[in-house]
Amino acid sequence: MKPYGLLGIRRPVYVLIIVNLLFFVLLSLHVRPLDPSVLIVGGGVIILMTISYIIIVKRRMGDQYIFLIISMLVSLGIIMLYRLNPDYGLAQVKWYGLGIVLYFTSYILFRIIKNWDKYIYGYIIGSMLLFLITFTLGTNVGGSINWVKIGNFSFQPAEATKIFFVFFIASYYKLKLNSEETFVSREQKGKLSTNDRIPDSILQEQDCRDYESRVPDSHSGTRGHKSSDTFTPNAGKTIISPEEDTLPGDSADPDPYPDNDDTVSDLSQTDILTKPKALNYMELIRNKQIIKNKYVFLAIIYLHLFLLLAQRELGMTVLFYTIFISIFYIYEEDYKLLFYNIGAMGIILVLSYFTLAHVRVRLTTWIDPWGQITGKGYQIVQSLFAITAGGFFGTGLGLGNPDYIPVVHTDFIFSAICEEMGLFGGMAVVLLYFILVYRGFKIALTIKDTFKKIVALGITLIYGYQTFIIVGGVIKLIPLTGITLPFISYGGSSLISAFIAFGILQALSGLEGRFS
Amino acid sequence: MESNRKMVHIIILMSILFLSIIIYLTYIQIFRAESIAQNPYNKRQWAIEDKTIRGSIYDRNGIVLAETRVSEDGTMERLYNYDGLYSHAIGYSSKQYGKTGIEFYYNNDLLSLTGDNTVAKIKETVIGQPIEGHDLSLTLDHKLQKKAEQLLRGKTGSIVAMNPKTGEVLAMVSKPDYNPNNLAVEWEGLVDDERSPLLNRSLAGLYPPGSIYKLIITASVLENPEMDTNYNCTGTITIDGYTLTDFNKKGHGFLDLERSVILSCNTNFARMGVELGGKNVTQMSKRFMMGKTPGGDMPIVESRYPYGENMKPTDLATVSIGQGRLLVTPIHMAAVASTFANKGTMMAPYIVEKVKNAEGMVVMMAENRGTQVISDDIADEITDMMVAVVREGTGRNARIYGVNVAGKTGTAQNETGIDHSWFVGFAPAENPKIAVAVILESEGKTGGEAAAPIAREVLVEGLKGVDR
Repeated sequence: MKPYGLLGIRRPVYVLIIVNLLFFVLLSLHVRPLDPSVLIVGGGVIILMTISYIIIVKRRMGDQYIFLIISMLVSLGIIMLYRLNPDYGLAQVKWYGLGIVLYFTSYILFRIIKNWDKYIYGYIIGSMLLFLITFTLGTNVGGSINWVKIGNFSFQPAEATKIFFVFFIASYYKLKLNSEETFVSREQKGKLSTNDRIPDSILQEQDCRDYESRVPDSHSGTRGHKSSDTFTPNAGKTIISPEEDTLPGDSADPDPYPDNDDTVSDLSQTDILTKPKALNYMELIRNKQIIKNKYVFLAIIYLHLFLLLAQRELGMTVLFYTIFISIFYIYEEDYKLLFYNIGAMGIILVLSYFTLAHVRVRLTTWIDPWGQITGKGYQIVQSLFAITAGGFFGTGLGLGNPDYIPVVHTDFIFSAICEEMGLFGGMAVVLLYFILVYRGFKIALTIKDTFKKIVALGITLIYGYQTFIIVGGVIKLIPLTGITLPFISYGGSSLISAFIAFGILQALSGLEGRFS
Repeated sequence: MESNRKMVHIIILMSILFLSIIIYLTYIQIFRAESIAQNPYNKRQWAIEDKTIRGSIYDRNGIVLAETRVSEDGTMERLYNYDGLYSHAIGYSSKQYGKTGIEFYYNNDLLSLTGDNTVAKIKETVIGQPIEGHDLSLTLDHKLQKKAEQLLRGKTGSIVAMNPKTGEVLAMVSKPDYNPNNLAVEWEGLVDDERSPLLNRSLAGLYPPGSIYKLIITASVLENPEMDTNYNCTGTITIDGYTLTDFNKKGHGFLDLERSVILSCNTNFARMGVELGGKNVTQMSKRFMMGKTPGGDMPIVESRYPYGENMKPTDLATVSIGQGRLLVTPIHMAAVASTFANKGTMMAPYIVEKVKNAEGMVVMMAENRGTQVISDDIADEITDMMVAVVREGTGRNARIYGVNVAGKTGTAQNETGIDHSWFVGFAPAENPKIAVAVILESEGKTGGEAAAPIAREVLVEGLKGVDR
């Protein structure tokens, strides 16, 4: 089969063009009186999509499928929204246009700026600023404080926080694993990487005897003593000394990255802190010693979760946690800590069930919505009505009654798709997300750099889990938590943040040369 | 690489999550869709109704009982051509007040939601032509229904007439009733009325059966031929310290089984019931579907038989004369009477004979379903006794000249303190064409006095159209 067709572009785009043509023509027939603007909008979407795709192919911008899948999902969303309310559809088209611009912008920015992994504090501060904005300026929508309104423009800060969150985790592990790697290189090259150097001010005050005597308190004695044997003042840093006997190649210890480096840095910190110098704190922060501590890292993660919970953003809380725990599972070697974290979430869930009424409501309406059909269970029941009304093939576009579902254009748009496009339509959407997630994983697997790998993985996980949380929620597979369906739900913040995120993924996809 | 190996685990997890969505969606669509879609809170049902011309309802001879007229501007109106005559049998379909009766339990047929109607649906979608619902042909006989309604006018109670051999319901009247064409005006009053005009007593009225239950006890006695049925009735009997009396405390003297039925002797039946024991009485009652419904296509309320096989003698005595905690529906009693008329086979009463689509094609045809409850011989024996009841016993008011009528009266005590009048019967006894159950709620008269004459008129009218 010839892989390239007309204009030298890959064929799948034709499928998209055909699907969009059919849907928009159908839509124009549905809208009465006859409204040619639908066709103009449809044509605009198709042209926008095709040009963007050609740019991606011609400029060899990496993965050629991500954008196609996203566009398919967005155009499905536009069609559904247009059918529900032309105003929503039109607005979504504008967001789509802006989204594409930002897609390429984030692609270019991510390519040009090289050291994204150096701004770990920037990501934390960014997140916290967004939380601050939400708490001070946020309006209460449907029980959650998650919308910030400035003039006519309102947005959901949590959408941006998602990306900061992933960048934060990624730069943490980059920092952590890098310092482990540099121990190796240092040993070989006999010099420090500039990155990890402890300022002279600290070094001068460092008393190696003092350190040595402390080591047996928390470490196996042999290790501590051994390290003092090989200690050279020239290497300059007490932190590294315990590592020296656990380097790869040392047959006594096959583990190249021992899990006790943090404890060691703890020690060194206490060591340093006992010295009466006020600048030590600042120095440590500047040199990212504090942030490298995994308990500090975990504290920041849980601060995120707590703040989200305080905004009553249940869906987002669950999403952030699943992203964190998945990456934690992959990169954390201390399995005990992993189980503690899973246990901690369990306890938080149980506690919130007993203390937070809205958590209880979510759970009881999940178990039995039918008993509360006129009250709390109304939404989910309307959603199930819509899904079952669709049957296998759906009622047809514009022929169902998805408008019976409250907030159908955001959280419940999947139910509307199921009603009008049927079980097979719904399955197709789920499979599109699955392919998208699969592409994301594939990209993440090929990247070698820790930071970039985690960013690719994190973005993939955000949208994979988010899809599961909302789709599972509206079909009553799991308790319903309000969150948007990526690319399909109406809403600028969610669409734009998704485009930015996938723009980054697009940038990452070209790195290893396999996708270009 | 270690991280890649673990990432594969996450990929597997993600695949499982997505797969579970697809599986669960399919599960809903295959196993749960029907019950969810038919939930009364599902507004989509009304959306379908707006696009469908509801089917018409005909009596057995093709007389239009209910129909939907479409006015020129496209609005649809449901019309009931005989006002209150079929208020309980057919019920009403109203956006505001919901649905009852056939309009409720044949709703899917009337809207042609059953079966494959894809062509009509596409037509509706493409050219905006409304879908036509299916038409129903009932088993009801308009003339008999009219007669029954006249007979019951001004009273409270129910008449059910059926073909004992097939289970076709020929007439079903419940009083008081209402005019389904006029719900908007009458609704408040109907809801507040303490005589419950909205209740279809034929299917949902639960009454103690009184003496008509002796027919079922008789069947059990006949199955136990070793039992001594002869008795000297003094008008009272004391069982476990409780004294049971005959009507007006009048003794009947020496009696055999037939005389006990003819005179409806409470004391002998109480004695025989106790002697039969809980096992026999309960098993026979259960065979006559007590505690259940006689089946069929209507939502009949289950009769109440709150006893097991271990019964106290006092319970046995009261059940044997149709009192105690035993409660039955009028249609159930019509089915019981039909059992004796139909050689011991109880037919499930049904009301819709045929469902036809807009093109006149029959999409559903009723089937006769019966259960052999007692033997042919015992049914015949009881029929003979019932004939005697009408000829010379408590049911004399149901006599028809030249026709052998079989029947049994009942006068049921109840919590209102004013007796219900019962009569069940069928005619002609040799080759029954019509069976009937009549109950007059709190009439304060015996079944022979009040219910038997009404039953007679129903039988006379029913036998006129006997060539059906």
